[in-house]
Amino acid sequence: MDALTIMKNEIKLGFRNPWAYSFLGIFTLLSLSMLIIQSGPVSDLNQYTKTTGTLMNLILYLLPLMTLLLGALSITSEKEDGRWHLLSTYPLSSFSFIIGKYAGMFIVLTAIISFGFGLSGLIGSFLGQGLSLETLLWIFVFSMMLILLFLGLAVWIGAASKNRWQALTISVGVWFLLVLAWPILLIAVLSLFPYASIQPTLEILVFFNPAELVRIFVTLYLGGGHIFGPAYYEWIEWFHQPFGVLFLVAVSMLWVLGSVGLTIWKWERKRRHV
Amino acid sequence: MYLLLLPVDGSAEGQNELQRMIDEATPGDVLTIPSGHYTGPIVISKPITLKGNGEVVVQGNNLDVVVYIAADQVTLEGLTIEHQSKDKDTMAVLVEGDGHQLTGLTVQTDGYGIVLRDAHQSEITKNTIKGNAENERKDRQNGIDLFGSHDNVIKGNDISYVHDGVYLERSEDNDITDNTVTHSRYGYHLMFTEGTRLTENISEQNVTGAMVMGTRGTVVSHNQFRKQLKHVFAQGLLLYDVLHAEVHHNHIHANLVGIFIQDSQENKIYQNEVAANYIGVQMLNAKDNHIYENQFVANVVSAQAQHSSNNQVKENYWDNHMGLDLDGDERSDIPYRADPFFYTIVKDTPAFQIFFQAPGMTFLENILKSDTSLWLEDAAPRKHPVLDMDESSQSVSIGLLAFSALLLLFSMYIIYYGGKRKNET
Repeated sequence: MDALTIMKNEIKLGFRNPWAYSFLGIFTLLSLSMLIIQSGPVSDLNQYTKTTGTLMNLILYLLPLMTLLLGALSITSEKEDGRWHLLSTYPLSSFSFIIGKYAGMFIVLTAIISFGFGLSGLIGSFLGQGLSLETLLWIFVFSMMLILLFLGLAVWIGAASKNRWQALTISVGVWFLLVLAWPILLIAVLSLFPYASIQPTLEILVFFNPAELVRIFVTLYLGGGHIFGPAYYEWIEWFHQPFGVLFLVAVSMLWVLGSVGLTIWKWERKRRHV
Repeated sequence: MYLLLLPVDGSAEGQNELQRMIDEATPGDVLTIPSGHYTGPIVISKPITLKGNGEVVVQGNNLDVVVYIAADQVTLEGLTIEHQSKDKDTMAVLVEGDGHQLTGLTVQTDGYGIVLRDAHQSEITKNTIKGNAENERKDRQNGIDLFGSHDNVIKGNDISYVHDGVYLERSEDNDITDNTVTHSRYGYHLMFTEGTRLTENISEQNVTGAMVMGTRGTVVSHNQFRKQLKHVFAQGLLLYDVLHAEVHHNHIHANLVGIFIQDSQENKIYQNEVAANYIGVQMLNAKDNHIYENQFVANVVSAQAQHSSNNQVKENYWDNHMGLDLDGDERSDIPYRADPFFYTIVKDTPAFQIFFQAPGMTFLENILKSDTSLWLEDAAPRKHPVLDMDESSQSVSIGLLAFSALLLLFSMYIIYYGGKRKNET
């Protein structure tokens, strides 16, 4: 038994979970909305349009929540259902187990969004309207990034929670904080800060919220960076340089490796303390 | 003033063959200039016509002015003027006096292109003016520059890589029509002008398409302001401190901000197509303007407004508006309102602009509704578009088809693989 076996098993389990199908349904509905968003005249200078902007917004509501719930519950249920008790009697390392679960769920979630995007893309190309290959590719990349980062958080929540209810509550809480409450929280808190420190704080905090990280940088590489205003001019320019791109890849990897690493450590500690 | 230089190719006899021809001409003469290179400066101080026969290049190195028109009724046709200078505040062509015709000129300049100073009733048509693309925008000068010049026609010119394409200051009743400006700072820049007619022009990939400031009675119609995107202050059309302007039938596409209206009053803005901009229309301290029958389509955000509730906004089409037409008059009975919430926050602290289109921000706008009587409001928005959109029809894309099919196949395979019950682990 190794990570690969766990991964295959996770894919099977994933699609026996009714949650997966309900998310598949919702996500497909959402991506079909790509076809009705009026895109208007397109500029060859950028890909950031109403279509991409609106889609990114919609996906940000749904996909992180989906990822957190599926991911966290899948890990917690291993504990609650006692399957991990059984598995831990085999020579299976926590490392292989968590990596396998992560990879398996990543494939399950990718399959869900692929279905939604594939179906809308197919219908769109027959209707000959609504979206272009570039738009679809970018939105797909955007969604994959969200899955990668939020899945790291999800497995960690799963490992840290005692049971399904706790996992569910924490997942929804984290989603609410990172996706919905984030701007108002920061605006409220930072308004108490000295004026000059507001922007630097915001620039740093972007890296601590995967939803904002992915949203801002996809907007930026879609060519829409100037919408963040003159205050961010140099910041935006910096991230358009090769070093800036590299930096972002590094931060994203740090997110994934960090959260998965913490999960493995947590899992291993519990295994020894059971 | 007269800085004499040798002819560049040495073929022209004498030190300044062209100037000699001009000096020998009598008023009313039509001079046909044989092709060749001539050196500036050239001064024309009598009403004559200069026509280029073939490739006539007038060249100036580090001159203040290459061609100086200091009389009335001068016609220049088909000449090429090359102005190389380290000082940007120098001019390729300086025009004074009235009733000139400058047509079919090709101007390559490191400073100004064609400058009119107290020059009236002249026609500047079908010229090509190009600045130095290697210089930064701030180190270039304007393509066509008018100061205190009235009743001129500026038509069919093609201008690129300058500071401002066409710049007018304290000039009255000028016609600017059918010109194209690209890769410059502002396409068309009006300062304190009266009765300017800016029609059927194109502006692409400048910082701002048309910058209209402190003007009275301007007409801005049938222009196309497109792709003003690559700058943090980019705009299609800006109206600042503008009174009694008529802005209509413009196509304002794919700009960072489509139309920005600030401190302006009593303007009529109608039947414009404002599409695919990041922000369709932005208004600040604007009042008593009539904004009607415009079409706002596919903008990321349709409208942002602050302190702009006292405008007559009606019967526009807003594609993001969830309207409801109960009495069948094609107008929604639910008004369209532009929420000033985000705009207000950003005005106070520009750093919060990072939350543009953040999902939490949109969510927040919907739950925190301030007093809507202070909002910009379209009381009877249209249910259907006013004008026909010339939407770029996308043909069936093989790439899209293939990629979508691939995604679908992948997901089907995974679902099938996950769902099948044999080989249980």
